[in-house]
Amino acid sequence: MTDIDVRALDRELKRGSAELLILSLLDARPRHGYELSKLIHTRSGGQLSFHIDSLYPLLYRLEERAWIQGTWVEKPGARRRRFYRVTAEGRRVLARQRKTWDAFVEAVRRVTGGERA
Amino acid sequence: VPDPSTPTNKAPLRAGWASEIRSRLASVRLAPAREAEIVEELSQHLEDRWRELVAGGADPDVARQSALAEFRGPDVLARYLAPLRQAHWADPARPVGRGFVLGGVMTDLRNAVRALRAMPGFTIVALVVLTLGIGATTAIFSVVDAVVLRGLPFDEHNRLVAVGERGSPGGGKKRPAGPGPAPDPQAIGVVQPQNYLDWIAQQQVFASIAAVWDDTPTHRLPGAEPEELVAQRVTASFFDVLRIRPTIGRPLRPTTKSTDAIGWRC
Repeated sequence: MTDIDVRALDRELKRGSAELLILSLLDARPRHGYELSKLIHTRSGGQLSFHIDSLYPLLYRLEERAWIQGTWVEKPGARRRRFYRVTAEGRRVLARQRKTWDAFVEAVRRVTGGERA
Repeated sequence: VPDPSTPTNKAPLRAGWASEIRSRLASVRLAPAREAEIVEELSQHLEDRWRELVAGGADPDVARQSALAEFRGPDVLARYLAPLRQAHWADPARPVGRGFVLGGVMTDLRNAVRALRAMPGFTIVALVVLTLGIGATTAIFSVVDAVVLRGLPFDEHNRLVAVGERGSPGGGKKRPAGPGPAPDPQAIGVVQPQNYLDWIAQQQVFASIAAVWDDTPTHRLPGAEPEELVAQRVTASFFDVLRIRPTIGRPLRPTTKSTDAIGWRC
């Protein structure tokens, strides 16, 4: 595999995993951008984090694909917030991505675990 | 947690977040309403981060710098937004310039091609109708142009007049037997040679007069097959009336032999 292929794979993995992370977190319930950012950081033990200038463009991209839908929610005495929820199409994509990701992780585990066995 | 909107606690104002974000969106063509939404949403994110840091004991100014450090660079946000559809908003109130008009035309053409591709049956029928229509129009215009619009290829062609005899109603020649359309009663007929000579001698209207008689002589060279020619017998004044010269030979004169001028073609 060439260096370019490795970089392309790395980019695709990051992009695909970022979408998977967002869709998975929103599958549980609607959340706003800052909450998503905090959850990814804390649940990954600080290993994963989104910068503000990549998190929101990613949310807007998923929104343009109609995988998630953002809605402004107003509460008394508080500033309105934009909450995102997964659409039906987003859930179908999430199911496919989970399947693909599981297969990928299993394949990598077989390769890397084979030497130790 | 101090209120960031309160100037007494050194907290950044919300307008401060907004200006930081707007400066990073300057190169992105967002609709004004959409830009306002993004500025509001990202301002909240920065404010949440700032509150969290201050609640954790950070100095408000340091917390502000830490919150802004979530931006990795001045152009990263714009680069990540650039591929999105919402980042290519076309302002309908923008002044119409040449490039803008051509851009609109190209967009219309692309849309038209997409629509035609989506309906191949309609496209084929429309193309056939258009082809037949253009062909028929071209053919009709060619005839009208040659017959009506363009004049005859002669000098002062508008002064040329065809003169002949017209039989009196009911007293003319009988229609020849056989199939075919009835002769036009208004058509000018053949002039008798003596009448033609009388017209020449007595008329004071025309500058000159010439007589023409359609003929189809048969031509045959020695040893070759006979060939029928399309010819006309004309009087000597023919070339003067039309103000033309023969392609080969000399113009006819009253004393010219009949073979001296052998042709003229329009």
